[in-house]
Parts: sequence; structure tokens; C-alpha cells
Amino acid sequence: MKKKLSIYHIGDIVVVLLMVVLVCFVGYRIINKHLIYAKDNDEKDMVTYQGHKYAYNEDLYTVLFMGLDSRDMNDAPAYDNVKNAGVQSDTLILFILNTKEKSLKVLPISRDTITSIDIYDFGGNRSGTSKAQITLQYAYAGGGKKSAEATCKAVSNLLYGVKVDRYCALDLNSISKLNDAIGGVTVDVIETLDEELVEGKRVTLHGEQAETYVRNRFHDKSGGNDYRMERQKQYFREYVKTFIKKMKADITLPLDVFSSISDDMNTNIKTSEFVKLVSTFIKCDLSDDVYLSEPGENVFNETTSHDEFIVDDKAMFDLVLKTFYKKVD
Amino acid sequence: MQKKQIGLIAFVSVMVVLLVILVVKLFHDSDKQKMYTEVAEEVKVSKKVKKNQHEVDFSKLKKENSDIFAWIKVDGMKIDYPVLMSSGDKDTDYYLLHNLDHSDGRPGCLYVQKEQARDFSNTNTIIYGHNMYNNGTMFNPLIQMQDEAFFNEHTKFTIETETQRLTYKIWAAVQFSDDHLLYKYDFQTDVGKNQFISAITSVRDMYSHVNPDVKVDETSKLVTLSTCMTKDSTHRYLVIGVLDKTVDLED
Repeated sequence: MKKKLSIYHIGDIVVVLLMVVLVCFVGYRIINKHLIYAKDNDEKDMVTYQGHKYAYNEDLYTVLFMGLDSRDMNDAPAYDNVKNAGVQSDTLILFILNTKEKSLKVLPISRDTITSIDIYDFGGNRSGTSKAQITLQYAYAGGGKKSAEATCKAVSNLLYGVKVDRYCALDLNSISKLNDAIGGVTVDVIETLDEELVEGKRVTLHGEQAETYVRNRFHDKSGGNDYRMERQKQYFREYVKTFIKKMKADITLPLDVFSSISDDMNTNIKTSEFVKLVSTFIKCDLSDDVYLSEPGENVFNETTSHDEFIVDDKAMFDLVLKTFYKKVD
Repeated sequence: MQKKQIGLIAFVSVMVVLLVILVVKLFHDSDKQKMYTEVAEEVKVSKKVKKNQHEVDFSKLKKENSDIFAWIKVDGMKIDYPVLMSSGDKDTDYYLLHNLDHSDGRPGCLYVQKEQARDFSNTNTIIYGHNMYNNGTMFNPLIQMQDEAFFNEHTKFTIETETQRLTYKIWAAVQFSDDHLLYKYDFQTDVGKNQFISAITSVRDMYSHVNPDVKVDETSKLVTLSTCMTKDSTHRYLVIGVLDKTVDLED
């Protein structure tokens, strides 16, 4: 008798539980459906393009590299457009690391890219935006963290709002230090720069030569910056090759390199992150097709006597969609 | 034993009642939506109208709700609704959460705040509407403008008032901050107007488009259709039209 009772009991409890679950489920569905602000994670960052849905690729981790045109990291005089051009970011490269697939894309951004940059009043407060060469953003923002963050924002805006996770700005002195920390980098010179660096010649760059190679450009040649970017790409490729080779013999090399330039660096990458980054990075394929090319063209502005890189917005949109988004339907 | 069973029956009954209430609410909500379609059918002039004739019957609309002062229709989208402006003591945002028959809740109405001109003569008249993404009504169809191809194919909307038919060319569809546009930009001054124009044209993201062929300057009369974005509550999706044609309508 007692046993029977408890079986009935269990049956009852099950029925009640089922009812509760059912009511909760239906209630939840109805409430959810009718909450206009309900956060729907599937909808988050979804882009519609020609009737298809695309979702932001959350596996990507981006690092913006900035090469500054200054000897001293902390030397950041205010930009006044007349006497002082401030510290500008001469080189901008966005590294797009796919942490899941262990693949890399590299997007060099022309310093002369005309885009929206923040402008500031005398008190250093943001007062609006202006269309100008992206390189000026670093100078306009007055230096340090503020400049680096403003440049990240300008790059993000140029790329239709992609996330820039980390930045690393290096001053000019860092180039030879980085170069020498791995014992020099060998290149086949692609553009004659001085008596030593002659087109077609194989040279192992040491000290200041490295800086000459990645930095010099001919101002009298329109699109001079394009040639320089080619040299930078080549140097970077050779640098990574040498770096990996040397690292096999000396596992502490990444940390040595990182600390050798600590005085010449403005970054929000922590040392521990750097080690992880390097370990992912060296697994990536670095063939020529990792390089993306910023769509647009160089135009010489007669009025200002400055190069301007005019972005092809349509092509840029496509590039961003292809690189940062995944088709979901 | 007996007591326990009574308790159980009572509990189950309560659950059943709750369930019924929820189901009724669900049907009731879809009824609210139906109301708009019915009104549209009722007030639309059935025969083909001439250019200077009304497409909707405002006398019928006024009987439905005297706060109706305009009708909006967006070409190629399921947006075909009355536009309201609260009157008397009602809050300026009364129709955000009140329906045509003054019942509470969504979908609410498309409305213009009562500080604005009823004849759309302000530099920028803002029409608010919910993004009813669960059933695709109210201003939800505007979200499709995020797709550039869709944006390029949908180029105008019309607003009918008691006296005029106003045709707007769509200038921009942008994701924008949820700042109150009328407080943020001083549309009384050319400086303020131009700040707004440049703020819209400089939006650069994967959801926003501006048609460079549509000319907008400080003399333009704009209408901004504003709705929520489901993905985050700090932004609004704005579809902005510039007045292109005005036709005076016969009584």
C-alpha cells in the first residue's frame, strides 16, 4: 500500500514539473518575442549585403602597427600646421590574425589615405572631424596613448567599423634596434637609395641601413610612398624569416626583442600577450597572398603639394566584408 | 492524502489559467496589429485617384483618432500607416506605447513629437516608429535599407497631410547615435543644419548608405524616419528623405 502511494506521488510530481516547464517555456517565448529591445545574439553585428547575411568573424584579432616619424617616443609637440608637424604615423599596417585558423592577413594602409580624422581645440578637446591624411591623426591628438587610440579609431572608421584590438607604435630608433636584435636582415634591394643600397644588389642590412631601407622615400616622385611600402613589405617578410630561424636556436628571442625596444614603443600589448601573439604569428603562412592591398589611387594635390591616397569606397567595403565577415546564409 | 490531491489540483489549475492568459495575450497582441491593417483598408480611397486628390480619407481617420494628422507610405516597403501627434495633456511620446485605439503597449503608432510643425515645414521632422522585428510591421522594414542593393532600389516615400501630398527622395539610411536630433543639432541655424548634414554624410560603417546624387543643403526640408536597432539600444536606424515635390490636394 505504502509503495503504491509513493508511485502515485512520483507520477504527480512529474506531471506538475512538466506543467511548470511548459508554462515557463511558453511564457518565456511569448515575453521574448514581444520585447523589442530583446538582445538577439544572432542579429548582433549582422550585415546584409545583396540579400545575404554576414556575421563578424569573432576569431579575428587585429593589431595596428604604427611607425612614427620621430626619434623619441615622448617627443610629441603640438601640431600647429606651420612650424611643427608633430609626430606622425608614417607607416600604418593592420595585422589581422585568425586565432582559430592560425592564418594572417596584412593590410598596409597608406599614410596619405584621405579619411575622417578627429580634430581638437586648443585645450586638446575633440572638436569635430575633418578629412585629411590619416598620418596626421597621430600628430593632431597630441601624442602618447591618446594619439595611438585616435589613430586606431581612424583606421577602424576607414574600414567601416572593424575592431582594432591592439596597437603598437614604434619610433624611428626602434628600427635599427629591431634589425640588429636578430643580427641583421638580408634583402635584394628593389629601389636604389644610396651607394650601398643599389637596385638588384643583395645586402644584409645593419644598423641605420635598415632604417634607410624601410623609411626613405622620394618626395619628388608622385606615389613615392608606394615604392616605400613595397620595400617595407619585403623587409617585413625577410625579417620574419630570419626571426623564426633565429628563434629556433634561442627561444627567449621574442622577449629580448620586445624588451630591446621598450623605450621606443607605445603599445597596449602586454608582455604576456606578446609572447602568445608571436607563437600564433610564426605558425602563419607568410606568402605573398597574405597581403591585402588598400583599394584606391594616389593623387598629387597641386594646391597643397602633398600626395593624397583616395580610397575606392565600394572596393574597400567589399574587402572589409570578405576579410572580416563570414557569410551565414 | 485527500488534502494533497486538492493542493495538486489547485496548483495545476493555476498553471492552466496562467497558460490561457498568456495565449490570450498573444492573440490580443496580434489583434492590435490587425487594427492598423483594418484602418488602412477602411480609409483608403478605393478608386484610382488623380494627382491632386486624397488617397486617404482624413474625415474617417479623424473619427478613428483625432490625433492622426498625416499618412506615410514608403515605396516598395510594407510601410503604409497613419502618423500621429499627441494632443492635450498627453505626453509628447504618448504614442510610443499607445495604439490607435489608445490601448497600452506595442506596436504603438508612428508619431511626431508635438513640438514639431504639423505641416512638415520644419527643417527636420522626425517620425518615430518601433522596429517590430517579430512580425515585420511598423518601421521594421526600414532595417532592410542596410543592404546597399535594397537601398539603391528604394528611392522615395510620400506623406499625405489634410492639404498636401509631399514626396521625399531618400537621401540617406544610416546607423546613428540615439541622441535626440532636435536637441543635438540646432536646426534653426545654418551652422546647425550643416553640422547635421556632415554628421550624416560622414557615417561610415557596414549598415549605412548615403545617395550622393540626392542634393541636400541648409535650405532642404528633411523628414527622418527613426527606428530602433535590435542589436544595440544605443543606436537608431535613420532613413532620411529630402522634400522633392509638393502637391496641394483638393478638399
